[in-house]
Amino acid sequence: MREEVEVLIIGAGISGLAIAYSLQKRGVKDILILDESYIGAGSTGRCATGIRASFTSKEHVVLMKHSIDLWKKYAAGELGRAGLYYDQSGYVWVATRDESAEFFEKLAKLHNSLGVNTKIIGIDELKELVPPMKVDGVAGAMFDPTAGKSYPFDTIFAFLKLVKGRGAEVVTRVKVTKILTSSGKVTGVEVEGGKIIKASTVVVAAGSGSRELLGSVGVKLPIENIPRHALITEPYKEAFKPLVIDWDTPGVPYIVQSKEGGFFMGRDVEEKPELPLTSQRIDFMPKAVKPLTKFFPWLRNIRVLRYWVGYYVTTPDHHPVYGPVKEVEGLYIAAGYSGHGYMMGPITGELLAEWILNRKPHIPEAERLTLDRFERGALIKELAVIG
Amino acid sequence: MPGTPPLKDRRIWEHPILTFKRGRRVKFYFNGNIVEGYEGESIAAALYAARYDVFSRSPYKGRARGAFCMIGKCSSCFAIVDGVPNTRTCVEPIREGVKVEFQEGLAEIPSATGGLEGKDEEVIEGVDVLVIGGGPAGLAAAIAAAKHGLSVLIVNEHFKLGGQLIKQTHKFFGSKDLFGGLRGFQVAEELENKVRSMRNVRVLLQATAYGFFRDGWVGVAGKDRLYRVKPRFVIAAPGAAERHLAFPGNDLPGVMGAGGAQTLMNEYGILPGDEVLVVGSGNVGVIVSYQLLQAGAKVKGIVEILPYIGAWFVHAAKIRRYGVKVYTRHTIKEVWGKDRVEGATIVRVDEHFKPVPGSETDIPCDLVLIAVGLTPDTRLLAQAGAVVTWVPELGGLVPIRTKYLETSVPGLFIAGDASGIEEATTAMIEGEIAGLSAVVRAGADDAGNAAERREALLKFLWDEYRASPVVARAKAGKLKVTVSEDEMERIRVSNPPPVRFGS
Ligand SMILES: Cc1cc2nc3c(=O)[nH]c(=O)nc-3n(C[C@H](O)[C@H](O)[C@H](O)COP(=O)(O)OP(=O)(O)OC[C@H]3O[C@@H](n4cnc5c(N)ncnc54)[C@H](O)[C@@H]3O)c2cc1C
Ligand SMILES: Cc1cc2nc3c(=O)[nH]c(=O)nc-3n(C[C@H](O)[C@H](O)[C@H](O)COP(=O)(O)OP(=O)(O)OC[C@H]3O[C@@H](n4cnc5c(N)ncnc54)[C@H](O)[C@@H]3O)c2cc1C
Ligand code: FES
Repeated sequence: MREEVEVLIIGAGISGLAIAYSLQKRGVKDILILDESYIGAGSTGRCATGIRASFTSKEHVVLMKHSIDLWKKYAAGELGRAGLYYDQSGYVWVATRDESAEFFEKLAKLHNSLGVNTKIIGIDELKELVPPMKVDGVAGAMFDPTAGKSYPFDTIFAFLKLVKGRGAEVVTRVKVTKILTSSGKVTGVEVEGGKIIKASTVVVAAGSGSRELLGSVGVKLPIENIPRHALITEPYKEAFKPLVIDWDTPGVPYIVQSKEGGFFMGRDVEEKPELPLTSQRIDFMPKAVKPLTKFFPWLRNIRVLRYWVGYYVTTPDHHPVYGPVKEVEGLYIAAGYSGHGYMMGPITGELLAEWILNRKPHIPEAERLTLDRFERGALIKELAVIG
Repeated sequence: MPGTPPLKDRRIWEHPILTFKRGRRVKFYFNGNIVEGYEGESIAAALYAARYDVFSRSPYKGRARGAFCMIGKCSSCFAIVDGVPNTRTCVEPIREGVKVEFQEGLAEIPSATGGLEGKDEEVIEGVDVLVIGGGPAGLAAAIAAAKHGLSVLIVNEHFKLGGQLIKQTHKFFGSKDLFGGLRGFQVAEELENKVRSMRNVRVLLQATAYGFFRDGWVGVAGKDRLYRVKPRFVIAAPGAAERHLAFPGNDLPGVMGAGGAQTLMNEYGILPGDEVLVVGSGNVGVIVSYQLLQAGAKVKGIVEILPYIGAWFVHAAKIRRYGVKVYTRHTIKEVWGKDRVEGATIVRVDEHFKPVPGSETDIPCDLVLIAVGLTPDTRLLAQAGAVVTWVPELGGLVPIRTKYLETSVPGLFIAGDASGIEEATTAMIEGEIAGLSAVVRAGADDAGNAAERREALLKFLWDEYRASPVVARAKAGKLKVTVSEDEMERIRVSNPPPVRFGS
């Protein structure tokens, strides 16, 4: 492992890898990425694979639209040849209450005004999109045709291959314990065991480990690591394409079929932040699956293959923290996606690369997402915090 | 039924030492064709007997899939059973009229709900000991705990109790205490009778413990419902799985675990093949060869990568008498055939175990048995958060434990193959020790007697039984992973257990 490097990135999830990729495209060669675990061990390998722009804040919508454009561009290029893909299969939102159906109409209007062509669909269209769905009791539905999915391990291994191919060093099983500074400037990091690695630029893309890392230089990052549960069933022939959201059940359960054919399901159940990921709960499976059996009764016959927990690294306003940390020169952050940082991966890479190379980000909305917004009290609102 | 001729297929009707007790004749369907079998057989066994070798095709390459392990550990025997795809047919009993269908790659989502509607999870609280696995280890544990008044729930993935004992046809060594003089399946019967006679033991068959959860819940997936169990103690005895080797064609039906073949032949009385090549000349490989010869098959050879036969002399002598060829310094290169093994290519190896080009030999056969050892099934224990470590002498990953068989998850004990591969007698002794440990920890009325008995068993196990030089390797392995109570406390500090039992 090198002892001195130009840019040191902490975390080899989608954020860290995408940042390295975008930096390389802009000519930065000397990059070291450290991860305390294996590739994909963080939230990236545990996520629900969903990608969409149908959010409610302008910042999210604009950034996600850019990100989706990049997903498509990347899938069509060298990353695509290395395995990354974007399956534009859409999101379907289903309501069982009339009030929610009305809310969908408002939401669709808002999305449309921001340039996302979400639309209200009728029962027939719903049946066409999701053939094996029992539609009794459905009061309304909405479809986002730009949304889609992709498999996180295909994505990060594609990034990893290209990033390494261009000379970045990626070292796993090395935990960064401290960020080192001298007179207000970053000088490097210390890793477990006491070794020091010098770097003039340090990027914290460490997911649930980010708060502690910033804490080591006295900077407060207002995030909580909230355990989120997910499961996948045994594989079946493709039954439907979109991700389906059961909007009116508390905790908003959702279901999507993976490329291998397994049905991925999740639901927000109340959890104490910071519980270890090994703290699994037996009631999650019925909690997630049972409400969905009203639409998909055949789920009762399907076995769950795997169940796991990952963190939603959550900020008070459910938007990520991006860009330079103003207290320490040379220190950057990209964390706190609050449950939708996989889809943001490509745009995260571009924005951080622009900041690091001393340019302003090309999307003005991104500048509202820096860490100092919490001090300034300039929080942003988001209503649709789901998969 | 008088007048009904026995089914003539792969079933064995004449055997020099065994007679097979077969149940009532049962009719069921495979792809609409009527298949007959005998009650007590698994679907996989009955199909195999009727010369159906292929039950499904793989999702991606459409490769033929049939039986391999016959004990529920490998998932190669999938078929659609009464409309439910991905059913492991080797742990599903035949029933009159059951409809089995070939599964072509990934299945369509099921249209039926399989009668599961309205069957909620059953919550079982207040049971003293949950025993996972009804093999010799689990049964011995259950008996020991129940004898001292604890309430016990046994969950067993297979539809029969007894685990691997059922296929063991040799007589046990040792004293009557240790079932000396009985054959394995008779030991299984005795243990089962004992367990069934105890009012404080409940048994769930076809029930798989699938995970450990927050607050000490254990999930169990039953045949047609889920159970949520909150026990005071857990004894895990889920056994072992057979190892496999990597070579082209290793997934072809007719390539089978040696234990899988033993299940067919010794438990169900079904001849697994006519012309057999066995890979591995350890005790299992050699014993299974001998059993095949007795059952009427032809053993074309035994392949052994080392320069010598691994089995004990007594076993090796038996096959030598039959003139079976042992290919030492050889390995398997490839298996060929369309939808069923038609032959295998073996190859000589040099002193670095590298194949020597040009030294290949083709051996026509219809069955290739892999007898290269077992690996402890510790998946569930690792999920529970028990600290595991790699011990080659014990077959792979095993949990670190105290001499009382407690893992780093407090109140979770292990016994039998899952604690490291040995054999059935040790499995029963370990089972009893684990059961008594639960009794002692529960502070039952006669905990003092239980503790005394436990010390006596430990002394016997370590100083007498494992003193034999033939088990020196396993003993060394077990010594490596047995730690003091103090050391275990330190391990718990650095690896905080996600669940705890025993309070
Ligand atoms: C159940 C679930 C479902 C989700 N569904 C979606 C979805 O559908 N769509 C979506 O866009 N997002 C989803 N998310 C959120 C998404 O997974 C994350 O926002 C995203 O993966 C964040 O990527 P990252 O690279 O920033 O962080 P991570 O993938 O967490 O990577 C951070 C890496 O940093 C390493 N690290 C941490 N601390 C240190 C240290 N001190 N030293 C060295 N290395 C360190 C970790 O090992 C880890 O590999 C979901 C999350 C969960 C848990
Ligand atoms: C294929 C094979 C052949 C063998 N042949 C011999 C032999 O000839 N002679 C000899 O001395 N030893 C033999 N052994 C060694 C074997 O170690 C012992 O004989 C003994 O059977 C081990 O006992 P056990 O109770 O630990 O496991 P097993 O006898 O394997 O019993 C385990 C039981 O647990 C059940 N189970 C597994 N997982 C779960 C779960 N998650 N939930 C619920 N139930 C579960 C299984 O269905 C099974 O009934 C063999 C082992 C195997 C695997
Ligand atoms: S699981 Fe049935 S043969 Fe292995």
